[in-house]
Amino acid sequence: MRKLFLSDEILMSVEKSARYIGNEVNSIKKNPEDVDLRFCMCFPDVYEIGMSHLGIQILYEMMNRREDVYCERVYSPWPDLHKIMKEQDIPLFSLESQDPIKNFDMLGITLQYEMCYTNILQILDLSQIPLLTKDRRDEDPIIIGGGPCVYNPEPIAIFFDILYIGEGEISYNALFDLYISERKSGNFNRESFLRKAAQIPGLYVPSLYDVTYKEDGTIDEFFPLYEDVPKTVLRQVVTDMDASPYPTKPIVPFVQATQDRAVLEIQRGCIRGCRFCQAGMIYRPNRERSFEVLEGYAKEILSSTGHDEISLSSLSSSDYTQLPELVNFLIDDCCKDGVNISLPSLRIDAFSLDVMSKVQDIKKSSVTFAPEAGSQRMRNVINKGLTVEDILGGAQKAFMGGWNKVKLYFMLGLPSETEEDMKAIPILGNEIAALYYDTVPKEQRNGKCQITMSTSFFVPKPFTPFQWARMYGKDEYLHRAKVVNDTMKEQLNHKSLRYQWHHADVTVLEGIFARGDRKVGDAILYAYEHGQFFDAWGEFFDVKNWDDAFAACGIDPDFYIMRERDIDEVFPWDFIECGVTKEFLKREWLRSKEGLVTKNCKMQCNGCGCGTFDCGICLR
Amino acid sequence: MKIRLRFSKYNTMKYIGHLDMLRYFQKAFRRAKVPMKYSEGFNPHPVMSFAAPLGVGVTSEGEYMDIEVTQDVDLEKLVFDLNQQMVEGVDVLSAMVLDDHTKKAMAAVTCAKYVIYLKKNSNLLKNVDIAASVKSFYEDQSEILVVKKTKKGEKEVDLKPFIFDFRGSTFEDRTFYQDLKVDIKNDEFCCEATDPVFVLQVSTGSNDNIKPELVFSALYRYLGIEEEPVIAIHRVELYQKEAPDFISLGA
Ligand code: SF4
Ligand code: SF4
Repeated sequence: MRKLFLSDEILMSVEKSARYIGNEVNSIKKNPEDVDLRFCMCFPDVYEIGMSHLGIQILYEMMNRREDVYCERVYSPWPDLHKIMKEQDIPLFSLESQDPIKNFDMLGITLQYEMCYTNILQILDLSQIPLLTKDRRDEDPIIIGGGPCVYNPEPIAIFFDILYIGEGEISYNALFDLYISERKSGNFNRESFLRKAAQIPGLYVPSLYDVTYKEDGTIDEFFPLYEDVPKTVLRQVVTDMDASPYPTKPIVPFVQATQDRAVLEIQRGCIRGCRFCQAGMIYRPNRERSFEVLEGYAKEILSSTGHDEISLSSLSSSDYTQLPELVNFLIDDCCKDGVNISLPSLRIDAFSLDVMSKVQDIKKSSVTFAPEAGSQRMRNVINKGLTVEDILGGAQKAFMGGWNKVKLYFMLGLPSETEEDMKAIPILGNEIAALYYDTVPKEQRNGKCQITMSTSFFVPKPFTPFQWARMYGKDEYLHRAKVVNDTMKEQLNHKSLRYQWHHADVTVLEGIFARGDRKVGDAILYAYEHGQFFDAWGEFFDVKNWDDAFAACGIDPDFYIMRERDIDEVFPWDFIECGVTKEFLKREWLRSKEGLVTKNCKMQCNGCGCGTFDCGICLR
Repeated sequence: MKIRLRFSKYNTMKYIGHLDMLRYFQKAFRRAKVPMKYSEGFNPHPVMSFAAPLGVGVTSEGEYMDIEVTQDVDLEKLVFDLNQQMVEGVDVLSAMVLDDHTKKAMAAVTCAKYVIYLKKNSNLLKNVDIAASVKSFYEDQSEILVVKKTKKGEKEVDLKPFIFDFRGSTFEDRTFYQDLKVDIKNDEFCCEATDPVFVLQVSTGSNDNIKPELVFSALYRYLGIEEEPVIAIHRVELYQKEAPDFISLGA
């Protein structure tokens, strides 16, 4: 009989105890005694969020294909259980074997958003593993970080032994082989293992590097401590999507996950170079999976999971070459078995509207546009190739097709944004509403139209053309939201318009983490030790804890937030060879200042640097 | 074709809530390629309903679910195919065909039978003559008054008419649990020879749904114990007729 790590008394006293029991359909059972390496994969947020992440399922599948490795999972215990574990000194455990994580060989933590940084420390703390890499001993697990946040690993560098830069499919095998042979040698030594690991492509061992700063606080030099440690770390990229591992038997949680559906990753990377978008840069080049392969995966996943919904995962599905074939296959083959199809990130046009009308209830659903900026000037600055004609044309077709709900996503606080640009957001919303009343005769209307505009505040990210840009303080962000809101109220069709904006406190913190340096790590440690975690959850985010932390650590947030960077400034992340070169990003930053649009990869190669990976769209 | 399935839920699966079980089975039916009948509309759902929701933390071998399939299926194969798709802690025990006018399990259920024992953290009742105490609680009282929380507030009800059987003994008396399909003995609970074990049969369903916890609160108060009972509950069977001629939902 399966034994659980937590007692019945504890499980009965916490919310959703099913988060902690494992045993899910398709979870992997191995005898830990039979393997050479035990890996625990962690998503540092609550189970339902973490279980929705495709990347973990891919690596779980890949690692468990090795007979000598057992990969298990762990997620952040919710604060109710956290409290009990701290009080009773209970170590954090994995879901599969229910063994304490401190007994594992490696703990891999995926970092999908900056607001999970305090949760990294929660995981380490509950696991009873030293929080800092410098304090760990030979018997502690090797702590590895991965995911998009590691493109600036410096704010969290002091917590990790290794940060894996790039796609996990490539270098884990070499790391495992090295670890197993070092362990088998009988005299395992953490330092010498890490020193050897630093030779494996894509692996950054932060303890082997040091930083010096100039008087103004910017970086003077970033350098390896030893001669044999590489000066730069190259991002790892899957070059053949069809040959890379894919979880055709993904785990099916009992608790309803945020993504309770089969997921087909149709491509990686994006051909468009929106200048604010980190994903558009760090996952270049665009690489597609072929339709035939996806067809097989769809069938296998549906039959191994029993999911009644399938969804496509990609940054911009409309750009997938064989989209019509794929969508027709899904509709013809999967729909008849009662499988729903959800199609996110489709550009609104005749094709997508036709597809949507087949797979969803028009009366209940909405059409979505992400113009990201209200004015054409601003859209040129950010290189968003969506014109007002595209939006109005798409909306009109949607209205004629029976839809009356439109969602629009924008950003505020973009570089060079003027009051006019802010006002352009509700003005565009109003234009769309007016179009509805012009297009749809009164007797055919299904009530008023509903135009919902949402704005998030822009956070500049590493490896984007906007990595040099400044941010603003909380008050300025709220002022900008107010300009939008006030302007909306003046619009003729304001009764059909709705406006939502994000919290500004979190934006500022995210900004500090996104482009912070090693010094920021101290504040994260301080904040966690003073009770701050689950920052991604509004109810637990307390800005005061962070103000205190920065003050206590002598960190001036304005240094990270308010400064437009000098074009030649050394960034904390410059040692990463990401594919896109700093030269290309500089060129794009300067072009954005002139409002010049850059063509997408399908229309023209702009020599971004990713051609060296020799795959995907660059070969066309 | 309408089918009624009986299944068990035990071990770690007892922490899975009712709605999660529903989704678990929906997916299991798809994996087992059972030709389920689907509702109409944009979000078709398989036609299925559980007899009586089981609380989180309660184990059972008397769970029933009615389903509808679009073509005739072989019952033995159905049970086999479904069990291929079950995780540890859920077994499909049997299947039967329902005729068209059989009441839905949910509407038919009237009564449930439980085996109840104690959790480790409630080492009460140790020095009590269990059999005699339960007997006098159940048989000697003309009414068993408890305060029941309802949507509108609290109201006092007499439990006695809703309790059809209540007996106590110790684990020495194997008749209380030896025929169970699930091994209820577990080192988290009090299952030593001298530890108490009970059989309780109470009214269940949309009307007069009595939770075993409520009966045990009353018992503890009757015995002068101030703490709330911390009990392990195992549902043995659901019935569709009232006393005296109880008939299993699976009959
Ligand atoms: S279309 Fe633009 S915003 Fe969307 S993923 Fe591509 S680059 Fe990013
Ligand atoms: S090298 Fe050219 S085609 Fe390849 S990703 Fe860069 S811009 Fe696009």
